[in-house]
Amino acid sequence: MNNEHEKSLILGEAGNMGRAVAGWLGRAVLFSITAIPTLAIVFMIIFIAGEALPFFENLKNVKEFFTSTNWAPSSADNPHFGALSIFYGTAMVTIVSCAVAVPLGILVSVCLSEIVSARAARIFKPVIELLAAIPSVVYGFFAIVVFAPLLQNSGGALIGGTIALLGIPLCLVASLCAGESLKGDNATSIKSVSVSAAVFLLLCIPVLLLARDALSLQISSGTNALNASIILAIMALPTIVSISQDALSSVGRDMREGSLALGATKTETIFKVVIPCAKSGIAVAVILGLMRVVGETMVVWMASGNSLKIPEPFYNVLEPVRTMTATIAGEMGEADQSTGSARYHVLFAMSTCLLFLALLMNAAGRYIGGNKSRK
Amino acid sequence: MNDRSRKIIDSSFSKLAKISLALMCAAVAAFTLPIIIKGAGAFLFTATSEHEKILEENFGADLSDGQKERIKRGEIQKEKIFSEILELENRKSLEAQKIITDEIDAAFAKLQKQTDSVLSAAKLTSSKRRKAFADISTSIWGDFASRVKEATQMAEKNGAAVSFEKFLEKCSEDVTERAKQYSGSKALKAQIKPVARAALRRSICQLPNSELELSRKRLSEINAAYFTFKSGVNKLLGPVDAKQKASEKLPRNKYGQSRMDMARKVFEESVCKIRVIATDKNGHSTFQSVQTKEYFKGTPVEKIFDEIEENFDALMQPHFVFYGGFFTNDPVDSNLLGGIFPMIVGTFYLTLGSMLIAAPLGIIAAIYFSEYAKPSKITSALKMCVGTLAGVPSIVFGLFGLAFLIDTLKISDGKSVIAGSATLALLILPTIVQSCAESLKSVPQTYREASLGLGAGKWYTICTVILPAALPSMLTGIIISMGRAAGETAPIIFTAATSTGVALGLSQIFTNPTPALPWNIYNICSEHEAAEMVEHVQYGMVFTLMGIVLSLNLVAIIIRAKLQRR
Repeated sequence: MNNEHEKSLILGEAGNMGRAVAGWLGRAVLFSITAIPTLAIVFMIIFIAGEALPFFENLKNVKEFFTSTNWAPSSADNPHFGALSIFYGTAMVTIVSCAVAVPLGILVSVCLSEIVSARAARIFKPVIELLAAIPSVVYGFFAIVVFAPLLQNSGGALIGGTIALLGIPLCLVASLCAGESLKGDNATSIKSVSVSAAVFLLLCIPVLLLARDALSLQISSGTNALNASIILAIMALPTIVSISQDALSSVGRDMREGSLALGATKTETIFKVVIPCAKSGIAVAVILGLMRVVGETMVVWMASGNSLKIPEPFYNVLEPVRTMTATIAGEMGEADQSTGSARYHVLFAMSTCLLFLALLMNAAGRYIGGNKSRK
Repeated sequence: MNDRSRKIIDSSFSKLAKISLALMCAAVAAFTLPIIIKGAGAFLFTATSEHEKILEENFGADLSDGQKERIKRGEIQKEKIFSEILELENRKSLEAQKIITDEIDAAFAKLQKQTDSVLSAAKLTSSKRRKAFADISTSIWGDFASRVKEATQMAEKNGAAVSFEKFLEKCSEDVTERAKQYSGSKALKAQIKPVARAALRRSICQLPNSELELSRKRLSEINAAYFTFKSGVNKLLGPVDAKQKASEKLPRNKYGQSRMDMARKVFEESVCKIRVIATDKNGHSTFQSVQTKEYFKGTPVEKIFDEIEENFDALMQPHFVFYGGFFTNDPVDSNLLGGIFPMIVGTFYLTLGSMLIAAPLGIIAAIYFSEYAKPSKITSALKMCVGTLAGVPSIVFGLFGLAFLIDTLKISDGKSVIAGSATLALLILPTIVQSCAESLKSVPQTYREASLGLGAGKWYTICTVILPAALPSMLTGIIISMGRAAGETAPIIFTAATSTGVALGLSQIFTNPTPALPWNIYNICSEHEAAEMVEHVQYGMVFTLMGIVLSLNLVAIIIRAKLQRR
């Protein structure tokens, strides 16, 4: 704002000079304090990548790091730094927890912004804030003390029940729709009912078979990829919900009303008008949720089982895995005794990957979000 | 698609959405309820009389007369059990001992006669003589095996297994000694060569010793089972006498169970059931879990067990207590006894320290962004960095704290509270900047204009008009960040946290690492040697941490609610 103008109104010539210097100094101080986050990022890149450099200098190391699964960094005579299974563990946990958190989070945010009343949404807001406020180590505690024994003892029933609970209502809706769509073609009501029943049975059988298979599942250890993923999904939920809810509620009222006036149902309005409009906001929400999952340490360290194997077969979420964050947290404690050792540097290499992944995702979120604001 | 199907899809979708909302609420309930209910159990529980004893001996608590009375009542009951246990270990089965002693005496008496007859016979070849010695051995020890078995059974029935095992060991030494004396006697020395004498000695003691060994093995199995039972009883009731108490190094072994729920658990798992070594058909010995009552049927041990079972309440003296010391006492013996005071203090230091660093910096940066910065490339780059910093994984902050603050800047020699606070401050700085800038922006433009219009300078306007107006809403953001700093674990692993130790004084925060709630929760859940014995402490710690974080959030919510009403 126009500083010079106001100053000359208040003070005489002599004070003016001092004021100007003080003001300029003050500004410099303010600016330098404001630059702290920027400096932090720069130093972070310098120091973390700098500690990782001795490892990356050797090209053989780099190749092994990304392609081998032989991880034995503490071995004195023949150390190996193959981190592929660790990267795979991170990817697996991230994908599975996103598969749970993204649909659930978007559904919840749609429900809060479109389906329930604004007053009810305000009541639910503290619930989401509570979920966001719970410290990650408490989630980890829950995963290891409550959820892991549950999963180990009655995991089959849990998974089977979930499949049945999700599948049967979906089958019911599909079969009803099939029956109804026949009605449109002047079919008799008996015919449509029988078609419904036939479709229902046809769809239900595989679901029930799947559920039955899951029922007899034996889970050897409660601390596995599924446990960590589900807890991480719950952790990512508040991020996804609150940001995509903001995006959804910023869609104009006129859009919704136009769609409803044209005869669309609420669901059609949501899917064909509101969500496409809020697309980029939801994408940002998903990316931020993803970042929370990738960067989370305590839950995966406690709940994922910390096994260095790639699960067999590769989609088996009931096997223990190990993630990048858990590896850093678990091994640095022993490695920092010997600062400068190969193991110390490889862990910094891993956190360099993590840091750049975070920066990349952040940039992607910014790019997508920026597109929206330009529109 | 016709109208009906569209309606079905419509209503089923809205139901699905509502169900997912309910699912989220259910997840919150599933998280918080067990923590609240079980966590309260860490300081509100049914205690036994051992609880007061621990408080008195470890934390210098003054006991009331009623409490002393209760300890005494429990002690009297325990005394009975303990005296029976001690008596059992020293009990001797004299009859059984006599049987064996007599048998050995008789055997050696016969020995003289029979060897004489062998030696007086014509000169024998060495192999024949060896056979003759073996025959002597069999004939004099003829029914020794059955006698030993009989005596052993007798001793077992009398409950003298412990002392009888020692007795048999002594017998075995005795036999060896006597055989040695006999084969070394002058009469024998004159008649046969040293090699033959050794052969004779061996064949005399081999047979009885292997018999004794067999019985001893049987007894040692029983005794091992008994000592397993006894250690279960010790775990439940405490050491049998002052001597044992003084010899135990770990405080956990100096006391019985102090909580009724743990006492029941120990009773069921270590007293009712014991693990014994059992030998299967192939001769492999394996551990097996058996019922104490079945295993010791008909022996005095069963009587002791029955007494414990019948007088359980009288032994433990259950009473409901509020153990405030859980929050103010130091932990003893890796959290098996005592409270969590150092962790609470550590969390307090770390949270407050990070707040003292981050809040002024964050507020100043927010002021710059909202009041001074002109829209330019530099400003937007600065803003972008704030957002980016918020997205960096917390473990990377921890490594940064280690590599930069500790190894490069050397703000302390190793882990310290100040290094941890600084790392946490960096972690919460972006959140504070963002929320404070948001609050400053929401101060109406007219406030600024009015102040400037009255002739106030810019800085003066900020300090006297804008900051007070934005303060409550800034406070909300800062308090929520404080909650986050209190609960973060990953950044303090390498910079501030240690798993054991006492509460730090103010002067030590620049040099010493500290225990802190989040780190100790991890530690007690994942790395505790006896995790099943400290479940209540785990829940208590989580409850305390949740209490701190959620009450901070509650304060923030209340401030915000007041703000909205204004």
